[in-house]
Amino acid sequence: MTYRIRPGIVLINICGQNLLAATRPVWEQCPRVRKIPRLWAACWKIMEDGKTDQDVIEAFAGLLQKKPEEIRPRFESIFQTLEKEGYLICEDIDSKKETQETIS
Amino acid sequence: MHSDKGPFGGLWRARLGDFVFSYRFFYPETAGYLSGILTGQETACEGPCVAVDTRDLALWEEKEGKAGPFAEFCLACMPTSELLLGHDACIFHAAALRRKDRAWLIAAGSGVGKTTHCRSLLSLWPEEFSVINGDKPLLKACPDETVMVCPSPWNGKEGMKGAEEAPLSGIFLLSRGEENRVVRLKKEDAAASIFLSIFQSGRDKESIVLAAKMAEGILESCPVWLLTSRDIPASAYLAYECISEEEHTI
Repeated sequence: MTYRIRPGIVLINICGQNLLAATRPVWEQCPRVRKIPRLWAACWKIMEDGKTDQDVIEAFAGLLQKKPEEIRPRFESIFQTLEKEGYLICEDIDSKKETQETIS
Repeated sequence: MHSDKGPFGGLWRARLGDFVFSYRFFYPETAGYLSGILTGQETACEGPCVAVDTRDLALWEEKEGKAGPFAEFCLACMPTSELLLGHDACIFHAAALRRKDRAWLIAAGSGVGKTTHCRSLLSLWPEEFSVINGDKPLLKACPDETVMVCPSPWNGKEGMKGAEEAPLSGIFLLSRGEENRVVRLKKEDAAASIFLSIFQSGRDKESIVLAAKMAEGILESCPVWLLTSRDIPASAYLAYECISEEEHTI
């Protein structure tokens, strides 16, 4: 599974609070605003350049001088939460859905 | 069905606060609702032009029934605010009260009790409070970092209005709860609510970023409290005490 940012979500910072804000085209896919902690915002900033969750894990593994497998569980929960709420898209699931829709 | 090409209800020049722009209406009768800020009809847009999004008129029809001049008037608030955001101003969802040349906002979604709290404060202290706008005032960020609270045509169902503009001194984020309580919020904890109280189309990243900048300006200019209300007038008294205490620090 590969997580990517859903197009139309914007990371903003208001008085030190990081927020994910949805543009109108994606208002139906996720809540309009969500507070996120600093670590999550740091992940988001990496992904804003078109990078995936794997790139984020590798970047932080390098920073923390640990193996990607060691830190993966902590980051996986972040990606899963944001995907569940609609801010990230999971490319494998989407492609499966598309395949199923094509078949049906 | 609504389209950008029609129906066409006329072009009007408008002045809201210091801002001059044009409205392009679908319905000629919409001008009547905004007559307080319209300065004359025109044949062509010379400056910025505000028009209600046809998708919003269609959504109104889905939810409320047939869209007409009143719907267009209500919906015009959003593109107006969108235009203002480019000039460090916006339309803000709150009731705006004036006391001793200072402005206080009670912000909440529709039906939570903004108007009821306004009425309560007005009836308890009629000599002290007046209403700038009962539902959606214009907020304007000034170079000296104060935010001015100004009248707008969107006064709410009760049409509460009349007082002149004043500098913003505090915001109450109103919610209903099991007890009457007022708690001062850290700026970061109020950020999402203030951002969501700003009318904006959210059409693209630039629109979101402008609203965020405005929210930061508002938060830097005044304190914010979470006002939880179980019953009125007890919660209105809490707001009054807060206002009185804060005035001593200004």
